[in-house]
Amino acid sequence: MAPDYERIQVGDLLPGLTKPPITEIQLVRYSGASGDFNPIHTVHQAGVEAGNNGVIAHGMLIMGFVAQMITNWVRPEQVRRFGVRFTGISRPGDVITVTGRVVEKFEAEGERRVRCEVEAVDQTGHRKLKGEFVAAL
Amino acid sequence: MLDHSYIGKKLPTIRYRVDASKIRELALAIGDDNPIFHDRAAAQAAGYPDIVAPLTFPTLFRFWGGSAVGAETRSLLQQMGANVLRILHGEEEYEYFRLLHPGDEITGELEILSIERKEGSSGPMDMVKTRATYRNQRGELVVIARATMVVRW
Repeated sequence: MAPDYERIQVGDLLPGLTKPPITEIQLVRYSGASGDFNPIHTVHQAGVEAGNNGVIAHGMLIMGFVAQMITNWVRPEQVRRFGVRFTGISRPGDVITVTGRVVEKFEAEGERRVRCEVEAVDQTGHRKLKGEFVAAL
Repeated sequence: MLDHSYIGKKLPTIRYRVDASKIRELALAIGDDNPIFHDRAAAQAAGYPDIVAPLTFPTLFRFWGGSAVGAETRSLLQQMGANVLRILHGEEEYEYFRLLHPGDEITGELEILSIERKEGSSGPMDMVKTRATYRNQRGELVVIARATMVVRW
């Protein structure tokens, strides 16, 4: 059901999302889809040379997981702004869980908006990114 | 040391034509099964003229929309002196003005706003802030993407 500005309260949790484990094939697919062919994401030896002990996921893939949670909650045209800071690397096998929380309700440019904090963590609780988005409701 | 002459320099225009198969390919790679990204009929049933692009789709513009000499951030950073294996993505932010649909002809202007040296625990790092402004074929502002790339030495 579409979120209702009147009913939403600061502190409310958004419906979260837990993704299947990241796979090496997924990183190959994401490289092709996005056009980001940095070998640290697909070539084991490059990942070793980069000091990562193997391949690591694209930060933008993890941001894409967060985007999935957001557009499970609101329609894409309701999102005004979405930003993240990457805080940790992800590897094949990591199970990413995305959570979000309403932190502000406000009016701007004739719209009723909410600001929400989001984060993505792995199966050990290690944080991959932290960010926020603003949506018009 | 990165070449600081790129700050504020006019860079090649990014050009990208949005098509349904790339939208679907990105959604599949992410594993996002929302039908508005995959199926035209489902998108129309939800009130859209066609499928829409996921929120992180603008990342394709700089990777697929660069010229051979490259408006692409990473190849630019390599031209500026960075080792590709030592580049990390620090931050990404999108400000949205319009939805993206198949058929949109996007042009983008990418700017390097600043380069700031920081001393990290494993050595010096340069924080490179960029801004890309994307418009559609009608000249309408679609999205502004701001990024911070981290170049380690």
